[in-house]
Amino acid sequence: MEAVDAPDAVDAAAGQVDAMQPLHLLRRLLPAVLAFTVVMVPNLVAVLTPLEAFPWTSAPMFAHSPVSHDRFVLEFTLVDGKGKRTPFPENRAASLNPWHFRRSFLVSVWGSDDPSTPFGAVDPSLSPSAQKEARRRRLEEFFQTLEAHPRAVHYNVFHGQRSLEVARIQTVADDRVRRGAPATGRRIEMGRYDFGSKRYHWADGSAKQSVDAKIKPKIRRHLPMPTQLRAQKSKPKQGEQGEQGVQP
Amino acid sequence: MTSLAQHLQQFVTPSTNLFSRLLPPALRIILVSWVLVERFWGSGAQLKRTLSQRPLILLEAPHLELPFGAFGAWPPTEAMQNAFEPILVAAALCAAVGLGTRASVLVTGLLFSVLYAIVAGFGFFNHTPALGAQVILALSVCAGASNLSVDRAITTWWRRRRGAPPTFQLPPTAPWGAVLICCTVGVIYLASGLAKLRYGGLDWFDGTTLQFYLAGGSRGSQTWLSLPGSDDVVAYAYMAQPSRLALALSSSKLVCALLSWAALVVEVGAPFFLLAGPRSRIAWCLGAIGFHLAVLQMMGISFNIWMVVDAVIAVVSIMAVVSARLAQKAKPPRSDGANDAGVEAVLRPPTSSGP
Repeated sequence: MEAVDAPDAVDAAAGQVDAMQPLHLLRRLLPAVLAFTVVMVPNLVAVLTPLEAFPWTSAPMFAHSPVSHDRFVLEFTLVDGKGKRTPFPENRAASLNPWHFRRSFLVSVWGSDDPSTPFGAVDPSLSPSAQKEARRRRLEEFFQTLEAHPRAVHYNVFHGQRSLEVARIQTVADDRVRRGAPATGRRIEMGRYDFGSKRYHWADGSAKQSVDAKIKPKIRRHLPMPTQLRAQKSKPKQGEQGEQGVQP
Repeated sequence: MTSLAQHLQQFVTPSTNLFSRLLPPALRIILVSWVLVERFWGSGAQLKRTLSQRPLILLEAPHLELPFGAFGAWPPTEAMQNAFEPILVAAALCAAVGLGTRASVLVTGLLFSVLYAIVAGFGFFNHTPALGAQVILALSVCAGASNLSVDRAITTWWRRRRGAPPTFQLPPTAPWGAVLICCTVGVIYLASGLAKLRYGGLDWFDGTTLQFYLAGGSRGSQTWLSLPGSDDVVAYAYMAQPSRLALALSSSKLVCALLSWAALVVEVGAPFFLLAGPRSRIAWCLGAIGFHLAVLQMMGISFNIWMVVDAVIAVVSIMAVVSARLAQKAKPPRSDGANDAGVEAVLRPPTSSGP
């Protein structure tokens, strides 16, 4: 505290008066202690827990290394009774743009598998099977709420649809994706919500293997530099599965 | 022990230090006005957009992440929704001019927080207003927040009517108010720096993470990150819009590493620089503003509220240093070491030194 006041030589007031009586000092300290407690404790909890509950945050922006992780884009597809597939319209169903929807889906529904992140981590005290079951329940609750969402009802988003398929597309940050083109890569089905039974079913292993098996994953550990990117052709390759492009 | 008591006494004793007296009211006026104009009426107008969607957002949305939901007032009724906007604007105006200062600042901070908590509940935790909301909430309990206010003008006018001598000076203020603001700002920057150390590790130190974002790796679709070769999801990647300069700089790993280290110094060092002294505080604030301008230019992300807070702290610190220098020149120190201004400041009954 000295440091805050140090340059103001005119402010030597505290040193010029007799020392306060302990009780007097405590009485003066009380508002300061209360104010610091109210303001600082939630912040320290947010940092240590970690937590993101506005306005308290552990501020993890840009902290995770995308290069040391696999990157994928989540794809939602509606499948009707005849097997016709259409992209899920997040804006119509939930009044959210696609990237808000995907972030919200991770934080509020899916949950990060890393308990050290503030992204709605799963309960580490549960066994893997119990965690999977808890996640399935969250997914069912979410999709049931979404199905009954008045906006979705108004726009008939789910009318005549049999299921909502959730899939991941392993993505490479190639030149076209950098310019906002649809993500490309290997598509893996993660599961599907059935509108008839109101149940979420995990995709089995065979489904994972059968989807787009011709496309090999191309996960680059290190990004190509712009000079390399300029040299690359931006033509999409034959057979690659695409997903609707999402501008930030 | 005696030394600790002296420090504590200095911490809570009303002081004539300009930084302690001016920082809380200056931040209150400028930050609340900025939030009102830029966030509500300005081009950003995020508050207004959020309110315009209120039937969907406030009542029908699943999975709201609201810190105040536990109070039983959620979801709000239609009447509460209609009252939200006028109450927020009225509270912010009162807070800016200092009418019913503490109550209006508190209401502004709470409503502002609720509004952005709704936005956060929809998958977009906006860190830019988070610092502003926290500083506004801290101002509601901070010593000296009503130093420049209509409340104080009315009190002064009333005292003059009762024969008190006229005074237009800022009242002596306990330093803990300004320290609380510095701690609030510092801990949020520190959290950001610690997160990079915790999650980024070596990839942040050697510039790999920053290189990815500067090269535009997260443009396009919203991506999730999973453990290599595993289905375990870890986090999502943040979106950045790199400029031509960023793309050019991303070709050098050394430059990216240096920028990463610079960001760490600004973020992890924030509480230390802010509390170490006025010169380090000024230097840090200018560095932090430069850091945010660089982020804005290279990644297209505006931390304008953070810059406003940093700028106010820097300007008030500079004013405090200059005024102290001028006072020293104008009044040579007495041989016995006593200081009339300081003694007078302590003996004068404080008018607004506590919450």
